[in-house]
Amino acid sequence: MGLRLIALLLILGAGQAHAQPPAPIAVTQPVRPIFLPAPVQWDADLLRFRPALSQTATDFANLTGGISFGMAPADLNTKLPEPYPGVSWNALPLANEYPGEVRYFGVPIEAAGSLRVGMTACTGTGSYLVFLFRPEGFFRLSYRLVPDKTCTDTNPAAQQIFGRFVPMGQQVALSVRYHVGKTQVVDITDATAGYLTPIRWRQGGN
Amino acid sequence: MRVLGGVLLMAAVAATMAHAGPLSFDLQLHEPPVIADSKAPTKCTVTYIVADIANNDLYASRMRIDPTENDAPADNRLPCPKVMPPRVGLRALDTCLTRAGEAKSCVFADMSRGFEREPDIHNTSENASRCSSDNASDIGVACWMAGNLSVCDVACADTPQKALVQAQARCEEKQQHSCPITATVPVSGP
Repeated sequence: MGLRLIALLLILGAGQAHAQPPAPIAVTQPVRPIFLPAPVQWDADLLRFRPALSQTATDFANLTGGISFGMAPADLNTKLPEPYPGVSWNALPLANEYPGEVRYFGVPIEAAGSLRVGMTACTGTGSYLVFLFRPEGFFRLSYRLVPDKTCTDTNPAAQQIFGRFVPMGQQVALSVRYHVGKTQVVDITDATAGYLTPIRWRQGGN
Repeated sequence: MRVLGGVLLMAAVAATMAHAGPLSFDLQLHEPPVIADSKAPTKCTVTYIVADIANNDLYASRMRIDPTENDAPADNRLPCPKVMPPRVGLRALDTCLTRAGEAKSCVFADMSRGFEREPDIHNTSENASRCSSDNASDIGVACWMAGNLSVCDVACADTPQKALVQAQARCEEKQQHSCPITATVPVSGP
């Protein structure tokens, strides 16, 4: 009986020792994220390059819960968990910082559904997401992360959002990150937006 | 009897089609899964770490390079070019330039001592900001904060832990500061 008990304890002990996870790598805190753009493929002579991965608008739609560049405002609105009431091209306000006719509407970040792209860091309660449209359709997704007393730093949230879009090839979507005052901004723009691409948000514009 | 059989057959076919609904274009020609050759030598990737000093963001810009016909693997790794032309480094920098608010905020991540006083790309090293997959599997970065500015240095190694330790050692030696902020990624990537 005693021998059997000892053997059982030895087996259990060996099993537990075997089951222990490998020792974690001792990493000095804090750890900074490194963003990973899509790789570039060069020829052997290092003269020509091309995207190493084949990415399409479908990859973008997979990330955004079905929202694609080129959508009409009303069509995009139906994809939102809480559709904005009465969305139509003529009813949308003009985004004054852009030349030509660019219109927009926004939703609180809390109501953005899958467009939160798995973000876990805090955002101020006044943070929101803006959808910008040219006459040809949707061309820019703009996250505006505004700090407040409950969330004094929205940089980690901006990093998390940005980190999800950076791997998207620039032939599909252009991701840019900057801040206006204390508001962190992440803009995701249609690669075909042309002269609208470099335009940044100005606080008070929209 | 033959007529009855034919009617029954047609009825059966019709019932099947009605049940099936609209014709599907999925012809069940599923492609077989791609089977990666796990013993194939690793192709050359040169990874640059570039920094956006306005946001204190780091990017790992991966440059994959086609092998030449004469390349022979060593330790199951295909060789990388011994000399990297500046255009490859500039393309790596582009991954930051196209994403940052201001172009001048993009620099290579291996920074000279005193970078915090003159935060300019000329005070960074392109060569020391990259690792090649024929020599290293991981690239590490270590930084210290000079006010709101992150000042960093880079190292290459064959494990993530060694890459961090070597990056910290390089940063602390060059900068004469403790460099507690670290990051690492594989050179070849996922």
